[in-house]
Amino acid sequence: MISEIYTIIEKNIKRLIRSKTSALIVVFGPIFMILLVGIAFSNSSLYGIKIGVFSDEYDKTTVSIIDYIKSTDFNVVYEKSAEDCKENVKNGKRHLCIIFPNDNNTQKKLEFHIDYSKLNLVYTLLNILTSGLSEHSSQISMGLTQDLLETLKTTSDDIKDNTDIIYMFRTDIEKLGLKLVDINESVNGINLNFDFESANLTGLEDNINRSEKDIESFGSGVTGDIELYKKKLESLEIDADALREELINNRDVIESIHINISNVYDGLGCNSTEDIFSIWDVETISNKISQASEPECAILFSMERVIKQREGSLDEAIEELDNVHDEIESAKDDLDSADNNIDSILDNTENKFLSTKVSINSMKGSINSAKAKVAEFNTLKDSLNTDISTIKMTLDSGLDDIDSLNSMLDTVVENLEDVTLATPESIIKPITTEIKPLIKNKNTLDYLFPSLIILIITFTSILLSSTVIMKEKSSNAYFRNFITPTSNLMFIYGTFLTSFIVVFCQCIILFLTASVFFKVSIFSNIFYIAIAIVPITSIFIFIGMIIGYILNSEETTTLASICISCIFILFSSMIIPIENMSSGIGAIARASPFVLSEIILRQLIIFRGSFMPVISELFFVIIYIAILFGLVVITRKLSKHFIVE
Amino acid sequence: MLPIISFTNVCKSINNKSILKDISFDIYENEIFGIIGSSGAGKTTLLRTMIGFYNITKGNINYKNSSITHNIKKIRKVFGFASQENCVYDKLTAMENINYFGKLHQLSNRAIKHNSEKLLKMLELYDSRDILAENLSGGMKRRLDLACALIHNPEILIMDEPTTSLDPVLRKHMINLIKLINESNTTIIISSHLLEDIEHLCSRVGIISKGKLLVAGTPAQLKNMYSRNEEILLETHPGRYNEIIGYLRAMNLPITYYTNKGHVLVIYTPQAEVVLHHILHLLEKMKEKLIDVDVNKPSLNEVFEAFTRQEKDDK
Repeated sequence: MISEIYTIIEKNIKRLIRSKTSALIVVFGPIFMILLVGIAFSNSSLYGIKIGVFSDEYDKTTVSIIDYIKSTDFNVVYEKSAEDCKENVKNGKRHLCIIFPNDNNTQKKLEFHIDYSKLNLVYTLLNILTSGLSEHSSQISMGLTQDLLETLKTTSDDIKDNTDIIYMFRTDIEKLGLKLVDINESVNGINLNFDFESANLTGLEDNINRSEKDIESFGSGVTGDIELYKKKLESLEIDADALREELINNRDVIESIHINISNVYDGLGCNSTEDIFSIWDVETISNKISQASEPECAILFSMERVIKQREGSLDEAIEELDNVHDEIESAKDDLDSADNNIDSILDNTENKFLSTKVSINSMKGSINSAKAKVAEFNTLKDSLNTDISTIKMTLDSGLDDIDSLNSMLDTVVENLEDVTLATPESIIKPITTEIKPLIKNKNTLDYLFPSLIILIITFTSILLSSTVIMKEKSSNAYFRNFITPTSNLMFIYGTFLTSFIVVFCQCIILFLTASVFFKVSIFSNIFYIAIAIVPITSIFIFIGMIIGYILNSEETTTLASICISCIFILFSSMIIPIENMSSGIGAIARASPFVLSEIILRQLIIFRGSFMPVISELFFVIIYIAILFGLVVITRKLSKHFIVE
Repeated sequence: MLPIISFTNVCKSINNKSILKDISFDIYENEIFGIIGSSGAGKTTLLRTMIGFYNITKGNINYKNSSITHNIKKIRKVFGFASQENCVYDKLTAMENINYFGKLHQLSNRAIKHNSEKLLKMLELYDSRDILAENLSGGMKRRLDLACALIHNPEILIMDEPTTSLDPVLRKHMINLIKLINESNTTIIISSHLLEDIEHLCSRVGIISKGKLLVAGTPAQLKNMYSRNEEILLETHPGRYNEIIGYLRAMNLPITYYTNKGHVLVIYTPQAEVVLHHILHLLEKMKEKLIDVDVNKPSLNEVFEAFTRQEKDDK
């Protein structure tokens, strides 16, 4: 089996080498390509870029911008008109046209006219120019921002200084508000709701009239009564005098009793040395009673006490009567006087009633007037209440506004302080970027190299294997291969290995050339790279073999190989980033063997990683290989029909 | 004698077109079997089914009582195939071509070396062994192709149009080679539309037309099956053959049929002497100058034409 495969490989290689053109391309092609690419892309500068500029008036800012562009090694050409400028871009004489506005606004809006069909160049140019102009613009902005910051600082300080005024103002309003509350309460406390009817002046007047009448009748009655009383008093005086006479008589009687008793005392031996009747009072007598040695004495003493008491009572009664007499006299005088007074009072009262009536009338008038005034006052009070409420609300609202104003001012001051803390640089460029390549000390070719390798592998593998197959099919000997005991698989292996050996050799030439001449770092991770090359190359070889087996002429095979290779390149990130494609196409592109291979090689060559980070890509590559191998077997069997035809 | 190869009701269709229709015949060991037919008759297809290149649609092809289909690898070791297209690689030398195909036939290096030297000498290619095949002459290429077919010492050699596009000298040379190969106990199956070559070479012949095997047998058997007529070839000047034919018809002579081939009138008749006698008299009468006259037995060509015509008529 191995010898058959070796024989087939040997035969294929001999056929390849014996074709001088093929040999040239196979051997020197990759060297030539890598030399060209290396020389061309060993740096990332742009050369020969022409930029057309136009402005009606080249002011200071415009000139500074143009000077900046010149400093980036671009060729600046001053155009005669805006139309010329754009036209030159269209016909390729200029890569870019910049039209400066002719207004004197602080903000300048530059118009960039560019041909987007040159996609790669467009992005690079715009990137360089816009970043530079952005920097230039930033410098201008720095000065403006500095002024702005200073103004803000001043404003912040002013606001802080005047915050106390607001506080005082607030306090005054609060006081006002409280005052208003008091006033409101006071006003509300005023209760002028007087029931004028309850004053009942009419009733009062009636009462006065009645009173007047009553007083008149009273006066009359009193006068009559006084007279009557006077008469009674006189009668009483007479009776009192009579009674007094009687009492005096009784007292004389009692005196005689006393003498009798005393005689009895003496008789009984109860007497003392003292004159008990004039000296002893009742209490002494009572004591004597208790002290009496003889019950008759006690009885006498008791009688004496009684008499004493009676006598005392009589004396009191006489005295009383005297008093009564005096009082009656006095009462009589008083009655007279009262009578006089009453008359006088009646007269006065009459007058007073009259004046009261007048007053009442006047009061009525006043009350009416007061009523009206009270009503008016109530109305005013309500209105006043309303106004006070309104004022209160306004004041409260004003307080809220002042609070809001205060907090807003606080916020403004805080914000201003935050802003003023910033520097113009931090405002203009709050985010600065520093681009750090993941791997240092790499030139453009280093980054391009994986894509370049894949490109070469793709084209070479597909073209070579398809050509080998097609040459085989075109050869008369192709038929004979089908009638030997050697199985189809051996031929497939042989063709595959032939292409693989050639492509692998090309890769070695590429690696050596890139490493030696352009210092591309390859060999530090050569083990992984070499292993990865195997499946990657296999995919494209199989694709080429399928193309070779399916198609029937060399021209169509070559065309198809180039087309498919171009499709792989187009739907990769080599020309346009995959991320720019629509989601569906982008997903398909990401599954392309070209893209997967590029990812694998990039990981291994640029980042010098192992297989682990790209294990999923490798897995898909192996699946591709399995599927393509099956298709190769099928298409080889079908290619028999080519011989028939 | 048992046949080495048997075809039994073999049918083959390609793209829904019936190429071979119910072909049945046998090939015996060490014979040279010729298959004749016009272009497109199905000769190449028939030969390719023998080598297992095509799978038959119906029927059976046995080699030594074993089906070819089930032993294809063994068949390819035992069969050799020399194609009419010279199946060699132009960018390899003669020796390289032979070595290459020897390897594909799983021969050892020693056997390849031995066989290749023998073949190169036999086929007079030894001196050209290091010349690229593209630089060889047509005859040499044909011989190289033959060498590639013989490198593994096949028991059966199939040759598809071996003498086509060769000049007469080369053709004769090729025929001699074929005979030489046959003498080394190789059964040879040849297809050709050059019936003269087949007639002189083959022990048995099969006529195939439009995918059908019309007849198979030795050339003599075929000729006898075709006709007992003799062939008179007449060449005259100015060559008023139509008038001659008219007169001959009027004479009611025993003429089976005739063919006006332009400069030669061919008359088939079972009584060549009688007819010839009348023809000579007629020519004298017509003042027609006799240039050449020949009397032959019918060739395989005629047999072939007759059979194919009959096939057409039967349809």
